[in-house]
Amino acid sequence: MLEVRDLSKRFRGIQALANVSFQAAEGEVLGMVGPNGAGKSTLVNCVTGQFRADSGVVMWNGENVTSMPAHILCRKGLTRTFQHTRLFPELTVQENVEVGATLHASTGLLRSCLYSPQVRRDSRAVKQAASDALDVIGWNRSRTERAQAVSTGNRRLVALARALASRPRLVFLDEPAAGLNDDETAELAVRLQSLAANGFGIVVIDHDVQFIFNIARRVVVLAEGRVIAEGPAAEIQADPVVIEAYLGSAA
Amino acid sequence: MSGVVDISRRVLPWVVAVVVVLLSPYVLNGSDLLTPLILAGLYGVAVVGLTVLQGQAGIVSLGQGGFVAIGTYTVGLLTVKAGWAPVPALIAAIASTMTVALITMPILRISGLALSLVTFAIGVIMQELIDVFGGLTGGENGIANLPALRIGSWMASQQADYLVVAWLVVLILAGLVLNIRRSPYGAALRAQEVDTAASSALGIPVLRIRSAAWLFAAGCAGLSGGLLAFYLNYISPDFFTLDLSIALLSALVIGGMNSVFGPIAAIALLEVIPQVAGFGGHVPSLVWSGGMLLVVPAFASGGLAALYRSARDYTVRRLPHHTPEPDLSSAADHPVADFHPGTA
Repeated sequence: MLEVRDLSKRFRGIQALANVSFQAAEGEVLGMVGPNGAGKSTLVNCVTGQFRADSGVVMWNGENVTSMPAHILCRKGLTRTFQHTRLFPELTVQENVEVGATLHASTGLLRSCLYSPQVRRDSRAVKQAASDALDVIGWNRSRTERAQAVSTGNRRLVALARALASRPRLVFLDEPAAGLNDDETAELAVRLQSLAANGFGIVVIDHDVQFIFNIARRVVVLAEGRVIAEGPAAEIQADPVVIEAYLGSAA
Repeated sequence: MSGVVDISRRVLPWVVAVVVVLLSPYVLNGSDLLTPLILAGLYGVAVVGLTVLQGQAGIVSLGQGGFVAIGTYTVGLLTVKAGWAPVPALIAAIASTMTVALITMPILRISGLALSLVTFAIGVIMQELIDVFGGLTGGENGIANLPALRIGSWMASQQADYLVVAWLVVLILAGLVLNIRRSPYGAALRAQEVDTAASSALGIPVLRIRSAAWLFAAGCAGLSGGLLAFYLNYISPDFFTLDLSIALLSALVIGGMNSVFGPIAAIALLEVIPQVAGFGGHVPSLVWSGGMLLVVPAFASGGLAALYRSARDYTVRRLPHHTPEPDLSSAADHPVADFHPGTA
């Protein structure tokens, strides 16, 4: 269970986040919407450890993780994908996802030098975890193609597999459906819901409002660095404040 | 049965290499190539360390010459002034470089050009310290009359002995480094070089693994410097100018940043050609290594290793072989029901 309280972040003259509070639970899909510049990416960056918030608290399963760096949070089961995927371009699809599975390896420099039996086991575990993650998102294309050769929409799927490879408990997905056609988007929706049913906590940030309302049970709406609405998807869709601030302008 | 064939195919090249090294004195004794190949082997020890730091972790160090100097002076001081035996002195050389690496670890928070400039400063500081502590280090005059290398009851009695020692150490370290490359740890090292933020988000402790690479490279440089001291018999601060750091760096670039044996071949080339052509010194001259650094990448980005791979692929393509099947995996039937969050 993720609990964010009064998170604030200022960049020079701009208040990117102002007292943002929300909750995200494991086993459900939380949608996060808002116009450009609402602070969605900044929020993810602050919660998952890329940036340090100016004030506020992030509680993860009862532990205060507010200033912890990204790699520690990942180890605690909290991870994310990036808006621009940030795949490793020269590595293959399989290798990219294997990096995501690094958490399954516990061997350091010394034992890796000697290629001890534990390193062998780790190597197999990493490969298996990567394969599983690619299977789960339904990847049936080449796994030995370089990431830079993969189409933009498909890169997001690879990034999703990469984030899932470490078996996180909660994952922030930054625009996972961008670049996918309607069929692919529908398939992604089904898979995300299955993952949530399996116990994964998923926070989806997207501009495609229809996509969000299809898969999210609850939705948080951000505008200008503030939470302007939070609640069940059906309520949010009907909320006049939200419609005016966001859905109205997009319509 | 195929497992045995597989293992012997992997082990065989190493066995051949060791045999070649052990037999090399018989071939090279008295040859012009002996001295440069010994130096190539000794510097090669530092180069192998650098393949982890620069080739894998992507940290361009302009101060490795400084670490080599620490190794050399540690051995020189301990054996000549404190009467230490060779092997403990070598261990101390590695310990002292790794200690300095430990102290300077915080610089690894920086990256890119700024970091390289800081490493350059380390090299310069080492040089200055040799001067500043002139009473101890002998300053310009250096330290003379080092004992020969002795390991247990074996003692180095001729130049060629150092050829064997240096290249055996290079082979052992190369084996270790190749193990790192194919391990998950190696994958993490390479990932953090490409994209630090993405790697952190995936759980890779970026600063910690950069520090490990830094320590490893420093240790190798210390060993290199220590062995160098025994070979040269006489240490002078001239050996550790910027030229050495640039030569080591050049070997990485000329040999191929993604390779281990490429840089080793490159340092041999950097040593051998000047010697054969008549303008050789202990350290490849700045003009020579700098020149090679300009010329080789212009013809083969990816360096000697890339040239080797092209040649090998060209030969393989000419041989009859079967086309591998496309590797499309069918994920359609994989049940999502089996995929759960971890218990982190």
